[in-house]
Amino acid sequence: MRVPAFPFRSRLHGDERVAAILGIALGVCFAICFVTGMLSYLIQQPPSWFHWPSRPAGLYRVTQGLHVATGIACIPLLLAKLWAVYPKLFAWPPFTSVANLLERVSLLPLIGGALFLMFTGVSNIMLWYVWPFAFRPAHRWAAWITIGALVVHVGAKWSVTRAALARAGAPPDEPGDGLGRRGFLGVAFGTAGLLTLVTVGQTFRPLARLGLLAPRRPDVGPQGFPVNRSAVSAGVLDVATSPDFRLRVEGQVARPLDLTLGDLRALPQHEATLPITCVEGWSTTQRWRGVRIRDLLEMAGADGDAEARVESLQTRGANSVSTLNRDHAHDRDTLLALEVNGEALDLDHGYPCRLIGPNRPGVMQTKWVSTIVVT
Amino acid sequence: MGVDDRRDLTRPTDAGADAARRSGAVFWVALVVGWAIIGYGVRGVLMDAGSVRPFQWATWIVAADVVHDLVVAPLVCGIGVVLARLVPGRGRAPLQAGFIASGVVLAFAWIPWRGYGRRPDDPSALPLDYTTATLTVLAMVWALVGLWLLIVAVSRARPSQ
Repeated sequence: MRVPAFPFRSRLHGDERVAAILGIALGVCFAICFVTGMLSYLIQQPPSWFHWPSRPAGLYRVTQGLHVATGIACIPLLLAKLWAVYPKLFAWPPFTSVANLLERVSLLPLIGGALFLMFTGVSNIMLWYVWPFAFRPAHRWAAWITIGALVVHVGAKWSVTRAALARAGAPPDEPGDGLGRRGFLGVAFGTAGLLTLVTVGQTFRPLARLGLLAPRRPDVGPQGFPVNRSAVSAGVLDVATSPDFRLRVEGQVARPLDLTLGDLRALPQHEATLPITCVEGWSTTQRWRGVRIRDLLEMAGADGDAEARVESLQTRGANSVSTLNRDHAHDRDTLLALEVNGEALDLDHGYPCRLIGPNRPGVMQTKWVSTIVVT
Repeated sequence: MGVDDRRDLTRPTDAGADAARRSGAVFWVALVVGWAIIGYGVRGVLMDAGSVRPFQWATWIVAADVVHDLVVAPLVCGIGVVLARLVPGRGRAPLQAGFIASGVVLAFAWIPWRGYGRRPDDPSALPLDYTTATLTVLAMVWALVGLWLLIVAVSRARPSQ
């Protein structure tokens, strides 16, 4: 198999040490994104064998923040890696054995999948949907084929990568002008650092002011923090502000409840300082106040280990219902919040009441709650 | 293709047969496991066909490959060739760094800069002035490039030891 020399004059095209270092960095980043992404999926659609605890309260904030930040940092690393190995695209003959064919064919899902994940991931955190498929399953299954192709690639490049890195010290750069190996890697990793620096403030508050390109600011929005779906978008303006609003607690309970907003306000109120973490990667900590879910379940005569389904006035979409496993339903800080930071909830934050609990994705912190179904 | 022979790009590369031989069991185990995982992913797409729409999904993945290989990469190589012709000498490296970083920043900032994800009912989505923000980040990049060029110029002006 030969790679044509003539169009590729850069001394870095085909540099195996550059490709190996970038490849290892990408392998680590892809593994982080894959594990944290699948974790987020399991939390939102838990199979019977999976249990997600309610503590530590900020764990999901870390895993999902890491997912998005790592994905963004991958952009320059992936482009640099593809540039470094680009001449191999034109290798001739295109394959030399069945094993080589299978390895080279796996580059299609590897590169196409990686680029797909990055484009759809970045577009998703910016709420720009230009594709005809549902984001979550499309992103998820693309992650599976990409990680599978990555496993093939790691196996194929195992020895060559080890050889490239095992040589004592870095071999000297080829003489010439322009970026050398160290400079090119420095630019790739430096740009990854720069993108991280100007975006990670959407979840890491100390860097919020540096978040020049962050799609969200943790301190911008109604009552000083962002929303992901407004009351207008959810179509709940009228029902959420209706004087006829009732919260029902029903299902496997001894005494179904039918409570007005006044009834809820008259119940014992508790405060909890909890993060709200959007699956799109932003997060912010706020001081919430409301009725403990476990108190409501107890009032309704539910079992001590009861679980629950929380339904919204919003009738459609992923945000319209969420589940509380036993840990979450009975955690002391899982609230049906009526207030945030001393004020009644803004309509966009879920007025008249919303679910807020520790260690949960924002999509499961159901807003405009109308019914708690004990299961 | 090792580092020592990288100038000779016409030499045989680490073709699959070589990779299989050199990596031994690792190659074959990874090949089988990896393709099994890819198969699981494809099965998932087909099982979720209603929401994933497999044909469009696959088209996007192939298109991502094609657009990179036939548009983005040649464009970057072309810019590199032009830069090499216009800027000989040690000043080229800082400029290459500046163009690479600027290209990535612009690619990332394109969506918020154009305001594509903005929603009139949700001012907290893309709440910043991304034109100013993008230009600020680019200014930071090119300030570093300028500093680098200055260092190159100063080191060149010094008498050699």
